[in-house]
Amino acid sequence: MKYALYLGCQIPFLRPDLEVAIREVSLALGIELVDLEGYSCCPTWISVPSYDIEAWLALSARNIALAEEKNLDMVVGCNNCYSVLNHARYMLKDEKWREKTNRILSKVGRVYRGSSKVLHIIHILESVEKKIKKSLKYDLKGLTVAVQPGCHTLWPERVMDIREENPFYPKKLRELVEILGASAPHYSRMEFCCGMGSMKTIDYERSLEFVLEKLKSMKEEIDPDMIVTACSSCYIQLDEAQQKLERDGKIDFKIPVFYYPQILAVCMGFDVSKVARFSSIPKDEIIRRIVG
Amino acid sequence: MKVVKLPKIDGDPVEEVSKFGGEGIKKCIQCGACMSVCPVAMAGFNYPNKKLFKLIILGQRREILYDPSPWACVACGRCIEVCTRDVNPFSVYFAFRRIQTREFSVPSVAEEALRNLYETGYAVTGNANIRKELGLPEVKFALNNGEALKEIRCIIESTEIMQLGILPRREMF
Ligand code: SF4
Ligand code: SF4
Repeated sequence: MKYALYLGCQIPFLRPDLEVAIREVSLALGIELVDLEGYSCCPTWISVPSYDIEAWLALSARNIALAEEKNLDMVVGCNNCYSVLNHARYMLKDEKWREKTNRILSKVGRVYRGSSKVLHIIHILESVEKKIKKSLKYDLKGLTVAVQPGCHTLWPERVMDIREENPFYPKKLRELVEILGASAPHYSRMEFCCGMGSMKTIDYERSLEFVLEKLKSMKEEIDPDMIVTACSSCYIQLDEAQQKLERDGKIDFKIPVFYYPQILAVCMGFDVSKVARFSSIPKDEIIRRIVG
Repeated sequence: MKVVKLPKIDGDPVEEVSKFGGEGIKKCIQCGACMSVCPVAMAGFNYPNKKLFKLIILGQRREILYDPSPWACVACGRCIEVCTRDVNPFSVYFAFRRIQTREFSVPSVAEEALRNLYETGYAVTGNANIRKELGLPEVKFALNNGEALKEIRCIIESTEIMQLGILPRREMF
């Protein structure tokens, strides 16, 4: 199993501990990740795609072409990258856009063929479920997890190669969490937006409302010991916003947040000071409960 | 009965939106399915997808040109999934953003993201020391790779973005 690793900007620059987790669990599970050289921003929705389709498609196509040159499918850890690159791939199925894009790419000596898929690390981990079960040093037995799949791996289905049976009732992340021994019950706001993305930069207060809504639903319905998300943006938002909501007196509890490869890394016994280094809501106590 | 008098129509905004990637708007029947699932609507912004489309269809471009609603879209894709007429509401919404950029109606974060991308290859950047401390390899970003950055700038320079007056035209290396 070999994939081209496309890291994007958010994980390596802002949450490199998540990158450690991705690399460690992949290596241990026999997933070979080849680093791409000279890649750029995906480019994220609020940047180039908000201005110009041709520039967006050419930059995305160039990133994907780097994986194509290695004859590998691409794996990403960030849902924003996943969304931007897969939307681009979908649009590039259209002859008109592909021709325009390749005309631009020819100036820099590249070509987009459409031969590499763009997958999420979650999808790869899903395919090695059995190996995961065997490699666990600790488990989450007795713990309740609120899962947060994140919008960008759910919709729109047409741009993706791997889909949920029903994106409005997602199950994949729940199943992955259950492999670790936890219970991951449904709660009514599970597939709700976390308010991250440009919503957060345009209007922070409104964006916080989404987190509050989600937290209240989790707390009242399933009272979780932790939140596990597949999305690095949801991860940052749910972790940071709780602190602010608590300070504002809007919540009186704190739920630690994990990125899936990160909680997996904890259960596989990796160094928690490396795979779970940065958070606003402390994780020490829950980690102590897990690793004893 | 009170009659609402609409101001004169501005050109043909439907054609304009179509040109920027929102051609699906021509199929919209205003059923509201897109708005019922849209985070921009839930957050209470003035012009979530369907409402914005109605004003475009009515030719009321000026009314919405400086409205920030399209910039709150989180690109979640829910609207694409539920649209009853396969409009691709998300693409229409983004097409309007592109029109706004041509009229200097751009939030500063979006300008900053574009500038960063042109300068460094990335929308966000951070410090490299912590990576070392965590034992991570040096990332093979375009940032550390003159050739790659040259490619990225060349791509951007081949497009209309350079005419928006946000990026400086610069000599390359
Ligand atoms: S993609 Fe944008 S417009 Fe569509 S539902 Fe999501 S936030 Fe609303
Ligand atoms: S769901 Fe589709 S047809 Fe209905 S209002 Fe939205 S864009 Fe128009």
